[in-house]
Amino acid sequence: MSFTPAATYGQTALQQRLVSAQCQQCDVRSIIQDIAVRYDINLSYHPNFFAECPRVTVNFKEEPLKQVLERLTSCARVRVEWAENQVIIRALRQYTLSGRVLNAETGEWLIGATVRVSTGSSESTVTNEYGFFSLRLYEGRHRLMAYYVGYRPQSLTAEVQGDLSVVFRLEPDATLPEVIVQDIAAAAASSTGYLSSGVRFSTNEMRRTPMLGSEADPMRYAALQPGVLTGVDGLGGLHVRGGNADQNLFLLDDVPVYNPSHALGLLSIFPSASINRAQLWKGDFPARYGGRAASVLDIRLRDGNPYAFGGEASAGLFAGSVMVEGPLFRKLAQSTERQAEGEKGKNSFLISARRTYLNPWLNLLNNRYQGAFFLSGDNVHYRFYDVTMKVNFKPSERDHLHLSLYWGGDLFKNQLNQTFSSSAGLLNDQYALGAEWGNNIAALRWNRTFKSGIFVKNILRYSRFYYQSQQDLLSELFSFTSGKRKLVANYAQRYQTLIEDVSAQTDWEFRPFNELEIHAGGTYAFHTFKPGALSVNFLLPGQSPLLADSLTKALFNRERVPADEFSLYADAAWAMWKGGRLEAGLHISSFEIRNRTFRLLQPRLRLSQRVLAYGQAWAGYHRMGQFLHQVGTFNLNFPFELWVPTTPRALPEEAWQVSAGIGWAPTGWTLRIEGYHKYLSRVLAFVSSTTALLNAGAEDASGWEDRIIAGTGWAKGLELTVEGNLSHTNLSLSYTLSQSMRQFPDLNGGLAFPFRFDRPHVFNFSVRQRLTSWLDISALWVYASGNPITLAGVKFRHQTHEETASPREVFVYGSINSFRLPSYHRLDVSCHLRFEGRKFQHEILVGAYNAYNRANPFFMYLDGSASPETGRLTATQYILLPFLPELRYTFRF
Amino acid sequence: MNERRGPSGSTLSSLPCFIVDRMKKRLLWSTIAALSLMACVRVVEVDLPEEKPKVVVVGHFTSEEPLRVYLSLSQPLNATTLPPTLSDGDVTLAANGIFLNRLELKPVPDGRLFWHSRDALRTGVRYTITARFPGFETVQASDTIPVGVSRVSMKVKTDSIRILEDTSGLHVMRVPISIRVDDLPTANRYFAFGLQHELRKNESPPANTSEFRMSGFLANGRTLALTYGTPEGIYMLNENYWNDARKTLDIEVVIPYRPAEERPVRLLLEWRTLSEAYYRYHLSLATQGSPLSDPNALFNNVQGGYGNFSGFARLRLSANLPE
Repeated sequence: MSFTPAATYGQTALQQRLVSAQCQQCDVRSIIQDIAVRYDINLSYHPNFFAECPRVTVNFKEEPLKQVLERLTSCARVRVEWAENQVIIRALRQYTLSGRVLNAETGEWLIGATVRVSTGSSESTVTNEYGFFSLRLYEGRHRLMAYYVGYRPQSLTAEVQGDLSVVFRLEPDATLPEVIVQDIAAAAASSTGYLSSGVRFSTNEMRRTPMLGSEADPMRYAALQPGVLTGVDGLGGLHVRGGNADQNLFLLDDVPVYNPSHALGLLSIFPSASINRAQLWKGDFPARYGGRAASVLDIRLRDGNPYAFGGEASAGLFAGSVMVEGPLFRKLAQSTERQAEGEKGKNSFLISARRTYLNPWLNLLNNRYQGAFFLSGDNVHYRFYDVTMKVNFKPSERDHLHLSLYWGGDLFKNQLNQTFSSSAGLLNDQYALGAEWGNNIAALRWNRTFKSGIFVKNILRYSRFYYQSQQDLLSELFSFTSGKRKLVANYAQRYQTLIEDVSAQTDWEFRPFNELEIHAGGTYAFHTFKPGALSVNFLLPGQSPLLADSLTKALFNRERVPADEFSLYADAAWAMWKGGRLEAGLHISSFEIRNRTFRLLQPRLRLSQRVLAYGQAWAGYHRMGQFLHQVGTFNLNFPFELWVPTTPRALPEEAWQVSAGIGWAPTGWTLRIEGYHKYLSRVLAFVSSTTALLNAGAEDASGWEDRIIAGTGWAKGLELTVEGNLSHTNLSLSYTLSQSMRQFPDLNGGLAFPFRFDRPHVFNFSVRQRLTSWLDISALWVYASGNPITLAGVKFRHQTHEETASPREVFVYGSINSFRLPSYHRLDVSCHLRFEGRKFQHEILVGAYNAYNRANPFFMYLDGSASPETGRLTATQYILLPFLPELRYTFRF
Repeated sequence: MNERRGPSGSTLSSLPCFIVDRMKKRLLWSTIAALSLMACVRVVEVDLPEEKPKVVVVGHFTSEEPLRVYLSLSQPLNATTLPPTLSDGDVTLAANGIFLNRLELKPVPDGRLFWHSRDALRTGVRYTITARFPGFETVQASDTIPVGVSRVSMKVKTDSIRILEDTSGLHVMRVPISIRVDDLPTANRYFAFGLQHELRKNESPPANTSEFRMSGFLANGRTLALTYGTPEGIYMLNENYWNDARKTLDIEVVIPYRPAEERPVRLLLEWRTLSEAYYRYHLSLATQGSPLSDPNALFNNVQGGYGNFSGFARLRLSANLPE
């Protein structure tokens, strides 16, 4: 190392002093020190500032000192301060830059948008479910870019001299490819990518996939993801990686939803016009989620447009909906004002409503399928409805209040007048059946962003699900001989069940440094269960009301069970090494009921590593549990199945899952392969009793604790997803190879048997082609192995010598679920046409569900009858949804 | 499928339960179909694996009585005739592995044919039946008569007896009773009970002519849900009934009668302690009643065939009813 003293001392300012230095592969600190000594410059700094700087080769020849120091210190997080005859090198301070990413047109926040620092460092992050992000940046000027699929990127320059808040408003760009379900590349690029394992989908994605009733339905869309199984046409709920339907946590704006579907599972309760985003975790969910053992489907409602009034009205063949949104408490703001005013005072509302008009269809079916379900004289009426409302209020730049409300339900009535002929006369039965069920949900949320970048969410929640039904029978005999009418029976049943929660949650999200993101919080919930109350009333001819009253009293189940649930959690995502990330968390929960306490400890761990140019590999271990169980006669997630709490005889359900996968996302394509093994260390089933009374499918829940049996289950599978987002074409292909088993000491002789929703092969293929700017066509083909079913092979006669015995036929069910229904497959097609006027947008969707009319049985029933022609055994197959035309007109303003 | 006969459901008196059963299926399907909006049905021919008929052994036995067992053949599901009674075979009974009797095919008093042992059976002995019929696989089954509970008491709550009357002249006596099992075991709580009442005929001059009829009962929802009717006319209790250190069964016996012709004078209780094979078999039968609930695999303790060969202990109690 050698230095040539060539200094010139003059009157120039210190910054302009010319200095020279030459050195090859030298330490930066030594060079600075040497310059200070040789030119007698009063220079102060801490040697550690340059500890991470590489050795450098320099050749400065009479260059200004300022320029020399700037070049030498550029490798360190420092800034140079100049004083008279003194140079001070200080460490840069770190500040928090936080903000939101919004849709510029609607003001809706964008969940999962990427924000990247494009100067100096390559820090990046993604927005949370409120469009919020935060970064720790060194003081100075930074250029930031925000990206979101389907939107034009936006950049802005921020002068960071303290904690700072910014807002990105991204303009939608319809010309960009839109469907990237699993954005591995973005996640890999993000240093502490918030969205790790969940699958996100937007309303637009759902709308462009052919779906039943042309409704953009997050539950049906979730059922297309690998590893998610469902019954035929959605009947039976979602079964994620071998889990039960009650092991899925459905969240609507953070509020648990107990019955997420209408029409027994054919459609979800979530109206598409109100949905911002949905995100599905298939068991590997972060520790901030708890309460269920299989999956989380987190659905976020839109906030409504704070800038302008708008809305949409939509009418399909079976249901129609309206949605209105706009600013609240203030006049319409001009777009220029928006930028100037910031976000303060941007209040908005959104109201949407939906209902069905099915009666013409039911009447049509009534005529067509006479003799099957709807008999002559049937008067069937069914409808569902839902209303969603959201109000947003921003009292300050950092505070945001949200009020979300949902109420909706299903209503079914059937009246039947049926006449039988017998030797005694004509027997006339008048049946009346009514059932009503629904959810009521409310959430009041206060989000606060602290200057330090801490994001706090406090929520008060209310969720209620109820089911009630009544059935009546008036039976009269018209005697041939006497010509008189005689009352045979007058029978009535009433049934109701409900679960009600009042809860509070606080969630804190902060980033102590860019590589580490932490969530911590807690929840308290007060549950009230009314597992099933049945009242019965028999009135025989001339019978004393005393008997009926007494019977009603005997059978009326007034049980009302309160319970307290507490949980604490913390999870962290930490970019511990280059390209690698550790996500670790712990969820601790306790459940108090009848002076007994149950606890669950649920650790969650996931490691991911960027591999090659566009790839990511990951592996995880997650433990989950739940204190609430849905049990019922059918175990099909029907609304009349009961939500019951953990008790000493119905212990908490627990599961753990190990999973590992690899993803690769070159431009335009995504490939993802993931394998998992899941063990359900306690899974419950309900033992039905043929003596117990039924009411519209609901079974009297009396003694429910003693009718629950516990077993184990396990599932393993391999999931493959390929997605292509080409210029005008979107392709998606998924395949799942899986096995799901159950084992109960009290069932199947204690031997393991396939889970009712075990489907070894599931294949989904969808394609969307943009033909013109106003015309898209889409197709979806679904194939799945048939569901297993328990069938009897032979029968025998049970007969004993006792006088009081009567013989009966016994069906020999060899093993549970040892047969399979035929494979399930169907093709859905749709065509979207969009027309844009000056003020209005029109969209027409034409399509077909089950286009080639595949008869997919959801149940098979053997009654021992044989074909008269061949003598072979016949079975009655129950088929849910044949070919259904679809037509929907949507009008937006 | 799942035709259910016998007295199950008769707990709520016979006519309403017939109605309940009819409504159950009708309304169940109607509900599911209509709520599913578009359900339709199709009858298809199915191929189930064909199985050669197997020998079926059905026999429940108790102490101090000879074994009477019904031997027949299994049938395909679409068989429309009764299975043939097996008669030309060799059926033997062994006690604790030692040959005891060769069984004989004889009619019981009502004319039905059963295979009988010569000797009465005893508690605690493991009995094995072996049946060989030409052309069929040899079948074998074993079980033991369990030691029954002995400290069982029945208390009639006479103060709470009520008599209800309808306009047709039918009276219904409702008799609350409490059955207590003091020596309830800690495990294998497999029990069943049967109820009968004695109706004394109103005769002039009095001749003490009586008729015994099976009684129905009412109970709270939990008891009903944990009670299973059996083809033997008795009601089996789920072992979980005895959770919570419970030792009593409270029910209300329903005795219909016509006072002009008869009057109830006595209540008879038969309390059975069942072997596990007896209990498991009937528990698996109990899940065969609902069209959509998953049926359990049939419990079968007959090697090479089907059926159930199981023992039980019996205790009989009676209580006089007030005039």
